[in-house]
Amino acid sequence: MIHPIGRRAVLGGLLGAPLVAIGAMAGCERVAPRGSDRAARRRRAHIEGAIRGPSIASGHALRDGTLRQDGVETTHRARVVIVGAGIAGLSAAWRLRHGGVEDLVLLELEPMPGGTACAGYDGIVPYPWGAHYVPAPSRHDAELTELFSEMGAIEGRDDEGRARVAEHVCVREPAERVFWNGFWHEGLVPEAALDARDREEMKRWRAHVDALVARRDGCGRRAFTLPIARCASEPELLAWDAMRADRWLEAHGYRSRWLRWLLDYATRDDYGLRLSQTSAWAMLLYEAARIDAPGQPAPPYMTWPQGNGAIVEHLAAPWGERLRTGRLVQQVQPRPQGGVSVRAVHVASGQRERWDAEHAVVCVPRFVARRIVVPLRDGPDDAPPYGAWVVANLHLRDRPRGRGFPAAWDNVLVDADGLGYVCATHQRGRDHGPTVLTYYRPLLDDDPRAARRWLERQSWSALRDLVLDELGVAHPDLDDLVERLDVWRWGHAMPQPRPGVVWNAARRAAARPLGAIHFAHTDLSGLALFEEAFHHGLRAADEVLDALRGRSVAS
Amino acid sequence: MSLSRWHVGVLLAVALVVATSGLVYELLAGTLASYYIGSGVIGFSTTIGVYLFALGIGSWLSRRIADPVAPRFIAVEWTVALLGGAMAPAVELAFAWAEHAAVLLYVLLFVVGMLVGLEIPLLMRLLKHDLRFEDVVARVLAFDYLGALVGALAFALLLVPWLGTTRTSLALGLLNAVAGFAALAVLRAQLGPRATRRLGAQGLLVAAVLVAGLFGAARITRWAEAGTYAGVILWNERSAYQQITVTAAEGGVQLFLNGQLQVHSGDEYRYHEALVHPALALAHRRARALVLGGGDGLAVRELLRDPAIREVVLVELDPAVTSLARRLPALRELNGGALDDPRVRIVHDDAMVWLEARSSAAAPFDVVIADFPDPNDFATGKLYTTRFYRLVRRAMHDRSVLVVQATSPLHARRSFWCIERTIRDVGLHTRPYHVHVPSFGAWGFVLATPWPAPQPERLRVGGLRYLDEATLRAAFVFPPDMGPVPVEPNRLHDQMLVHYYAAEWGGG
Ligand SMILES: Cc1cc2nc3c(=O)[nH]c(=O)nc-3n(C[C@H](O)[C@H](O)[C@H](O)COP(=O)(O)OP(=O)(O)OC[C@H]3O[C@@H](n4cnc5c(N)ncnc54)[C@H](O)[C@@H]3O)c2cc1C
Repeated sequence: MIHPIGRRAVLGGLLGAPLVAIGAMAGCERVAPRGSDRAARRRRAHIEGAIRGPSIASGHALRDGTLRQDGVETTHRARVVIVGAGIAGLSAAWRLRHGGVEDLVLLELEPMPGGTACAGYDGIVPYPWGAHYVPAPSRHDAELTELFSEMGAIEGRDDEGRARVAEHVCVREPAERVFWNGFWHEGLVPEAALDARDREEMKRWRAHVDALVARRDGCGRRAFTLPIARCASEPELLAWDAMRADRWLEAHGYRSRWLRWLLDYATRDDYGLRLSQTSAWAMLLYEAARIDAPGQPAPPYMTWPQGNGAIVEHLAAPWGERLRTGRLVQQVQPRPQGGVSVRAVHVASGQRERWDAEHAVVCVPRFVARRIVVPLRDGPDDAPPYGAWVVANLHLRDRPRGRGFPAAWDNVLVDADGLGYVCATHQRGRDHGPTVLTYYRPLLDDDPRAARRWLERQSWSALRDLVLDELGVAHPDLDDLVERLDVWRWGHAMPQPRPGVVWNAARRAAARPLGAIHFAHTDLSGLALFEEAFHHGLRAADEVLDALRGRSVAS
Repeated sequence: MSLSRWHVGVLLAVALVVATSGLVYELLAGTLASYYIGSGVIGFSTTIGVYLFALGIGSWLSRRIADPVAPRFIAVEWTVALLGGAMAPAVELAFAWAEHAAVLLYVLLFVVGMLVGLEIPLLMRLLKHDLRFEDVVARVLAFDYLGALVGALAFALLLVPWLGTTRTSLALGLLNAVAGFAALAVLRAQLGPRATRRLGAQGLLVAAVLVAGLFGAARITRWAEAGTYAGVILWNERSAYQQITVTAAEGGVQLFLNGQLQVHSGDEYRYHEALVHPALALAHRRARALVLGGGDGLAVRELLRDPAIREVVLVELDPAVTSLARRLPALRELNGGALDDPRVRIVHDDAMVWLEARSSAAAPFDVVIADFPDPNDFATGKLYTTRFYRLVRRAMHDRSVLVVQATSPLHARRSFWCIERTIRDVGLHTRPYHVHVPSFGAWGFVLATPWPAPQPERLRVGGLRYLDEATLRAAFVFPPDMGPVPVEPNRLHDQMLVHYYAAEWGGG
C-alpha cells in the first residue's frame, strides 16, 4: 500500500486551490470505540465473524511446554528440511528445485502455507490476510524477474530493459484515493489541500530521492537497493540508520505537512512505524531502492485479488505432500555424525515425527529460531523488535457509498489510525455487488510488547467496532452492508526497522549458517519486505546447493 | 329521501373508484420518492407510513363534519381529484426547479391521504339510511379493498408502463372527478338544485384543469425534465447498477442509462444496423455470436435477421435492463421480442469477469459485438482496455470478427482513435468506420479481425432501412476533421481513454 511519491503528486495541481485548512493530523491513540454505544451495537448485531490468527495457542504451548504429544516418534528422511513455509521457506524450496534438489520437505505450523503472505479463500473472491502487493522488480533483479515470468506476471522486457508487467497484474486504475474533509480524492494526497510550499517541497524531495538513487560508493554499489545486502555501507549512510526519520527530514529542511503526512503514511504502511519511530535509512530505502535510475518513475505495483497469496500458491504448487502443514517444529539439532535432525509435532493429532536430513533451512522468525535451534538457545537475544498488526476482512453484500472520487484499489483515510483498506475485487474488474475489503492497522505503540498485550486482550466485538468506527466515517452505510467481519491478530507481524535495527552486527551474524543449519527470514534484514524474504531464501538455498555440490564433488 | 337500489350501487362503485385512485396516489408518491431519494425501500416505506397515518387522521376528523354530508362529500371529491391529479406533475416540477421538493411531496401526500380518509366514512354516512349498518360496513369496505387490488395491479401493469407517472396522476384525478359527478347525479335530490348547480360548476372546473393537464402532460414533463429528459417518463428505476429511464417524446421512445441517451427509437436502427451488419458481412462463419453489453436487445434483433445465426450469447451486467427490454411494451416492440428468441441465451455478469472465467476450451464465437456505454468512468473504461480485448480475442477463432461501438470520432476524436489504437495493440487488424445517427451525431465503430480483412462490401441481409452497399462503402471514409490523431492505448492500469473522454465530453 505504499507509494513513493509519484510524479503526479508533484507535477499535478494545476487546479490546486490555495490551502484549505488542514484537519488535525491523524492521532495515534486508540480511542474508545464509538460503536460501544447501543445504537451501533444494534446496527452491527447481524454481522458475523471471528478472531483469526497464527496459532497463538500452539505458539504459547511451545513456549510453556504444554503441547499435547503422544505416541512413538516416527522417523523420516529427506535431503533437506525447510522449517516454515512463508515466502522465505518457499523461495528456498523454489531455488533448490531449480538446483536439482527435489528430495526435500517443508514443515509448516499453520494449516496453510504463506506465513504473513497468506490469503483467505472462503469469500466470493480470494483476499489477503497480510502482504498484498510487490513493486515490479528492478531490471537488475534477475531472480525475481524469473519467478514472476514463470507466473505469467511478467511478459518480457521493454526497450529500456525494464520488466513488462502483465496488464492484469499491474494495479488497475484508479490505484488509490484518499478520504479527507468528508470527500474521497484521487491519489494519496488531496490536491486541493496542497499549497505552494507543499508543492515546492515535494519537488525538492523528488530531486533529493533521485540524487539518492544515483548515489554509489567506491565499489559502485548503490546507496539504496534491494536486497539490502547489496547496499553500500558508507559511514554517512550507516549514521542515517541510527537516526530518526523525522529528525532527518527536519535536518534537511522538510517541513511541509503534507509531505510529512505522505512519508509518515509510508512508514506506517511499510514498517508499521511512525516517522518518529523509524530509522531514516529505512525510510529512504523505501523511497529510493526501487527506482532504476534518476528521473525514472517508481515501478508499477503488482497485485492479485488474494495479494501475495498468489505468489504463495505458485511457489507451493509443486510440493504436494512434501509440504507438510500443521507441523510445529520444536527442535532443530545438529547430529554428531553430521547433518541435522528436526523434531516436529502434528498439532492436530499430537503425533511426533523426526526428520533426519543433510541440511535444514530454518525460515521462521528469529525469536522462534532462537527457541527451536538448539545451538542458539543459550546465545544472546539477537531478534529485532516486532510490531503487532490488526488485519480485518470485511465481507460486504454491496459496495459502500462514499462522496467524491470513485472506489480505488487502495483506499486511505487521512484522519485515521489505520491505513484504510484494499478491495479484493478491484483487480478482478468486478465493480458491482458483493466484495471483500481488507483493512490494515499497525499498532503504533512505542513499546511493541504493550501493543501485543493489548491486542491479546481484545474481544472480537471490540475489534469489529474499532474497524467499523474508523471506516464508517467515510462510508455511513457500511454497518448495514457488512455481512461478515473476521479479524486477524498478528502479534509478531513484522520486524521493525527502528533506529539502529537494520545496520546491526548481530543481524548480519544471524544470517550465517551454523554447520548444516541455514537461516532465511525477512527479519534477518530488520525489515519486512517480500524481496528480502525472497533473497534470504535464495541465499540460504545457494549455501545448501554449494555444500551439496562440494560433497558430491568430494565423494 | 331514500336512495334506490340503483343509486346505492352507484355509490358503491364510487367507493371502488375512490379506493383505486387512493391506492394509486400512494403508489405514485412511493415511486416518486424512490426516484428522487434513490432508494426504493426508503421511498416506499416512508410514503406508505405517512399515507396510512393521514388516512387515519382523515377518518378521525370525519366525525367533525356536520350534516348535511352530501355536499361536503362532493367537495372532498373535487379536492382529492385536483390535488391527487396534480401530485405527480407538481412534484416533478418542484424537483426540477426547487430545493426541498420532497417536503412538497410529503405535504401533498398527507393532505390527499387525509381527504381519502374522509371519503369512506362520509360515504358510509350517506348510505346509512338505506342499508343496515352491517351491510354498509361490509359492502363499502369490500369495495374499498377491491379497489386497492385494482389500483395496485393497474398501476404496475398498465398505468406506469403506458402512461408514465405524470399522466397516471392526472388520469386518476380525472377518474376521481368522474366518480364525483356520478355521486352528484345520484345525490342531486338530496342536494337541491342550487347546490347541485354550484357543485357541478366546481366539478367542471376541476375536470377542465385536469384535462388541460393531460393534454399538456408532455410539456409539463418537458419543463420538469428540462435538465434531463425531454419526454414523458415511462419508466424510471434505480437498479443495483444504474439509473434506468425510459421516456416517450417526439413520437418515439428513449432509453437512458444514468442520464445518458442509449437508444432513441426514431433512429436507433441506424446505429444498430451499422453496429451489426458490417461485422456479419466480413464474417466467414456466422453461427455463433456473442453480444457484450447491449441488454436492450437491439443488436440481438439485428443479428437474428441473419438466418445463418444459430446461437447468440448476450452478456449484460444488469438484469434490470434485459428484464425491462423483455417486458416494457415500448422496448419490446422495438426489439421485436429478440431476447425471448430460442436462439438467445442471456448471461448476467460483468463482461470482463465473464470472459476471464470462461474456459479457453469453450467453443469460440464467429462474431463478437461489444456494445457498451461510453467510457465515462473506470468501471466502464476497463471494457475498452488491451486486457479486455485480449480476453475477447481468446473467445474468437482466427476468422472471427469483432466490432466495437467507439463513441463519436467527431466530438470525441481522441477517444475514438484511442479505442482503435487499443484494439490494434493486441494484434488485431482494425477497420474503423462511422455513420450519422441524428440523436448522437457522427458515430464511430471499429471492426477488428485476427487476419488483415478487406473492407466489407456485400451485406448478408437485405432490406435494411439505413445500410445499403453504397452507404457501407462511404462509412469507411474519414473526412479530415475526424481522421486519426496520435493517442496512447488504453490499459487497465493507465486508463487513458477515461481521461480523453472526460476531457472531450466533459468540456474540460
Ligand atoms: C499485515 C502485513 C502486511 C504486509 N504487507 C506487505 C506487502 O504488501 N508487501 C510486502 O512486500 N511485504 C508485506 N509484508 C511483509 C511480508 O509479509 C513479509 O516480508 C514476507 O512475506 C515474510 O516472509 P517470511 O517467509 O520471511 O516470514 P513469515 O511470513 O513470517 O513466514 C514464516 C513461516 O514460518 C512458520 N512457522 C513459524 N514458527 C514455526 C514453527 N515452530 N514450526 C513450523 N513453522 C513455523 C510460520 O507459520 C510462517 O508460515 C506484510 C506483512 C504483514 C504482517
